[in-house]
Amino acid sequence: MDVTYILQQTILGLAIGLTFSMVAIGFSLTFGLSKVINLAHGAFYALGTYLTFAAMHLTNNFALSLIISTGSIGLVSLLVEKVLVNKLYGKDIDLSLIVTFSTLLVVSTLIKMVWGLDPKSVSPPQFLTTQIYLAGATLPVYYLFLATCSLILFIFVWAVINKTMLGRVIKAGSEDKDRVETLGINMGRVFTINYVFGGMLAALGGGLMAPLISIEPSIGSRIILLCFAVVVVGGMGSIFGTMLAGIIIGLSISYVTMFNAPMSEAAAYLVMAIFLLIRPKGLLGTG
Amino acid sequence: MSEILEVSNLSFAYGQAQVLFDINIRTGGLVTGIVGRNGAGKTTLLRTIAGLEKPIGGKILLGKTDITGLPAWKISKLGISYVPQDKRVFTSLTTYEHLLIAANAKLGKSGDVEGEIEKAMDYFPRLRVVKDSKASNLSGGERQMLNIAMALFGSTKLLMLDEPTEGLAPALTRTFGEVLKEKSREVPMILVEQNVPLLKDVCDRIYVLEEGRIIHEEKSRDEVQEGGFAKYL
Amino acid sequence: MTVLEKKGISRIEWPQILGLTVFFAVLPLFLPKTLSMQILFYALLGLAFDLMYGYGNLLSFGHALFFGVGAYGAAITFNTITGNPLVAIGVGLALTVAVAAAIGPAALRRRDPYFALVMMAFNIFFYQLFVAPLAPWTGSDMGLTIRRMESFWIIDFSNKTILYYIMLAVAFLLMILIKIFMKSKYGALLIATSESEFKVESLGYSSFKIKYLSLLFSAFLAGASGALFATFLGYSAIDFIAPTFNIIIVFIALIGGSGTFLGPFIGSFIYIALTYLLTVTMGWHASIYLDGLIGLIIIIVMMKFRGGLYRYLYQLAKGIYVREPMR
Repeated sequence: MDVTYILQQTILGLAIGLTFSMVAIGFSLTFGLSKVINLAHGAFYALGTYLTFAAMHLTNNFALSLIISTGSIGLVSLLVEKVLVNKLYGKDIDLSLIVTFSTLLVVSTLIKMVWGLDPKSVSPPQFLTTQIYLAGATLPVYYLFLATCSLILFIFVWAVINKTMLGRVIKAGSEDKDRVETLGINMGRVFTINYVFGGMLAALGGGLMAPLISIEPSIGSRIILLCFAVVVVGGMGSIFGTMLAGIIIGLSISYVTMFNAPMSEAAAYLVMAIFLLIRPKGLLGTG
Repeated sequence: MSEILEVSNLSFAYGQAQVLFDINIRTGGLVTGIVGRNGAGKTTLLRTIAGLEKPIGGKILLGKTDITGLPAWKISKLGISYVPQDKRVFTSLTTYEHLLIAANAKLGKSGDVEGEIEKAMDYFPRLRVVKDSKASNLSGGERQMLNIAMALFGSTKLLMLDEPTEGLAPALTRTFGEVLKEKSREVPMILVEQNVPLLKDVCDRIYVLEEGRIIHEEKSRDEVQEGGFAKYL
Repeated sequence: MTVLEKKGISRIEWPQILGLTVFFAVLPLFLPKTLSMQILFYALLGLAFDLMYGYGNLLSFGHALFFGVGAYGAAITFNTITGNPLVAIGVGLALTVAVAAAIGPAALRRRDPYFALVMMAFNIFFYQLFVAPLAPWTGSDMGLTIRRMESFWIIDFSNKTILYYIMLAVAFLLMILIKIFMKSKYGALLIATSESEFKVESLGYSSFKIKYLSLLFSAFLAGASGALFATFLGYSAIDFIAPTFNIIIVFIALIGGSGTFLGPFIGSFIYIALTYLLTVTMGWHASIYLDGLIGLIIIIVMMKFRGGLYRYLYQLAKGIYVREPMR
């Protein structure tokens, strides 16, 4: 086991871990605020990946593709919220589980219909495909790029939640949405904004991950489970916890890949199972 | 500034269980007390007026505006402020953030949010002391102060308070009583309370609620001061 | 109204069990045996799922795991240990219950939504195990063909007709087992736990134990269905343990009517019919669209007919039966 490989996997683990955190935070916020388990969140990730692929085909400009796909998912998630999720607020939680899971499945089928079953791939711009020499090892630049992007985006989310009025309203609403309504704030609108915001983060995460993965229709259902694992390990209600959990899971996956690639994802679920058994509240959970 | 709240034939049910039966109330632009034993439906009545529950029958008019069935945020924007029971606060936010949200919501973009918050903290100096503390660290009295301060931003046409002095130490109860008395000259109020001396001191009329129905009314200050309503508690 | 009726749960009555058995006995006259068998065992799988969901209010997105382990357990045993069907099916059952016993504590730690997703996570975990590292034994996504099967006593297992009726007899026994369970203390306690764990605990029972035992029984039923079906088919498909199978299980249980005995049978019938229709109209590509169609139907039904078609039909026939309230 050479040091280069270990270092590469560490950076990779951090990078994908931060991306998972970024994708998971939207899922976590929707549950915290609207009390809906939005499994359709995985669909936004998957669509973000596929639309990035499609946009790359048309424009061959990675940044533009990311913008197009994220923007489109903004519209898609808005539609889903207005037509479907809207009606789930205040209802049984298993209703939202079943309905949003079915939505995920419908979207996966649509993806299969449009793009087929063969795996696709995306190449990032030239300057990101090179490698750099760091600490005695060659590292793919894209790993560092992904880690940086995800970190910045995550900090952005943290800032919105903790420093803006919207963020404060979301925090307050997660505790007592009725009370916030009596202060004169339209919680319906806040729910929608929260949902779309989360969806767009998922799409962006999907687009950023696109160059690293084999793009196929099942990525939607797989990411939602990783989101769930992140929430279990990190705990509900803590943004920092989500970030830590994402990193732990990302590293688990990248390290296990060194020994047994096919079981790498399973490693994430194993971590989740361990937490469920010994620390169900998660690392920094408040809920 | 003061508008009269008129509740006519209001009924409410949780599924099959009816909780309010044909309630008729008029605030007369003054301080209206609502009293009754526990479980009589007082909180449900306030929640329904505030828009948190949808009535199954009847009408609620604020001045000339029909607010029946409107969403809670719209009713709040129309000038009805509601301070719920239990001195609940948002534990993940600081005192100052509470005031920010409330002021922002009531005053909108054009309002002088910071100025109004300063005024609120002038009126309740204790809040300035704890302004950066997480609300979970506040005492019962401090929380109540915060809740009332939050309810008073903007032009309030009706302030509804659900057992504001419940669980407070006697000294604090007296302080709040004075605050309420002072504010009652500017803002019409609906006060749900168990504290008889406070009610006698402040209310201009009183409705007694029992098992979802109004069983007694005292329509003038003199009647209230006699304290006949106390026997229903 | 009894507690059961208030919750919209129909009692499991002898007429239903006997009627179903007769129905399936006669079905091969109209449909291929394989199809009939599939309808039967998918329905039982749906019932196993609904035991947790309809009665215990615990939504599981991982029952495919139990069905699959039962099926593969039997198949692998046939191929590697012995051709004795009783042993093979027994092993499949034992493995399923073992898996359930192992993951139960982690899954039942918290209520919904955790239960649903934790079950799903374990499902994916085992699915990946079966596809990759265990491929030499499981045949990965090609599935596993059962290569030998001995006769059991005088029964010749290679005769599909005899096999069918034996399987039906076993299914009949399973249905009776379900009835016994629901009538027993545990059945009532499970329903009580779903309403108020606090009350159950204050009576001196451990709500965890109740849920755990119910999960084991549910897994047993699902594993039995899997093992029996695979034995009949002579083949265990990766689809049996695939996580995507779960939405079909949910479909079967919910479309017919959750909390009812006949519901999953109706659901299973509708599912098989849909599969058939789609294949006939769209060719073998149909399987791609099937999932999406199932999902779409679930969304529509859940949003409009909360109680499932069975209850909807019940309400239409109000005059004939006692009205069953929605859950």
